[in-house]
Amino acid sequence: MNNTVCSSTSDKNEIKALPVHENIFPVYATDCIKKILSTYAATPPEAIMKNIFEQVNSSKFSNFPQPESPASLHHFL
Amino acid sequence: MSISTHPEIPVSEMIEGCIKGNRRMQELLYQTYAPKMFGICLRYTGATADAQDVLQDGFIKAFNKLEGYKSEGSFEGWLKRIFIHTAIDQLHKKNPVQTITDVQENIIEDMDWSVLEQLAAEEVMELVRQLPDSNRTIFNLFVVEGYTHKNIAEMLGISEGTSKAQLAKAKGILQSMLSRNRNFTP
Repeated sequence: MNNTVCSSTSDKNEIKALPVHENIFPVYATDCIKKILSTYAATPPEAIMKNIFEQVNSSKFSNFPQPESPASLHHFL
Repeated sequence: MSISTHPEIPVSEMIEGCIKGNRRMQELLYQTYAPKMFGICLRYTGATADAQDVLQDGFIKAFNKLEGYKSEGSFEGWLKRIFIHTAIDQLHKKNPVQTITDVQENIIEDMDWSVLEQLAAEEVMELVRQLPDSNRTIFNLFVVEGYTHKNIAEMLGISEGTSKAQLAKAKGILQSMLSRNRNFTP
């Protein structure tokens, strides 16, 4: 594993001439951060789920027949 | 935390149920993907309240667009793209990416990059969340998502040069923060 940031040159001008992303951030560090961040997960507050379904179901699915309550089914019996 | 789908219900069945308005399937789909999508929202927005807004808007968009999902690619990838675009839209409204053509680099030599291995995911996230909005967006798109500067330029309506400069600035800031944390003991 090579953790060296820049080449051994001491000439600052030469360092600056290198492509910026290779210059200051070695591949090892990029891969490490990518691995950590791409799998990162966090639990959102529960209230968000309620808000989402209120909005989704009130718009898109408002025309779907709702399950009938026992009282409304009474007249079929 | 990793994504675990419901052991008995395949994602395709959840999607079908959601399209039919089945509340149980909606909840199952949400519970399966919300933690990872919230992680993405936090990673892009930086602030918890903004991340919650993006999570909510992203899921509303996803549920409303589910019929358009073609089962050809990964569903998680499809969902992820919706959240990334939702986060970018929100950030764009708040603070458009500014054109940068020149970056003052602050190169710290002899950086011990092994400090990264000592940091927990939460700590790395915290560093990324501290980046300015435009730098964080481009860092996420390039480093984590793997988009090219050309893709990023098209997505954000900026030049490739600005994307490169913003990325360099993000890396420089991160390097400075990591350098300050080199003696950090988790």
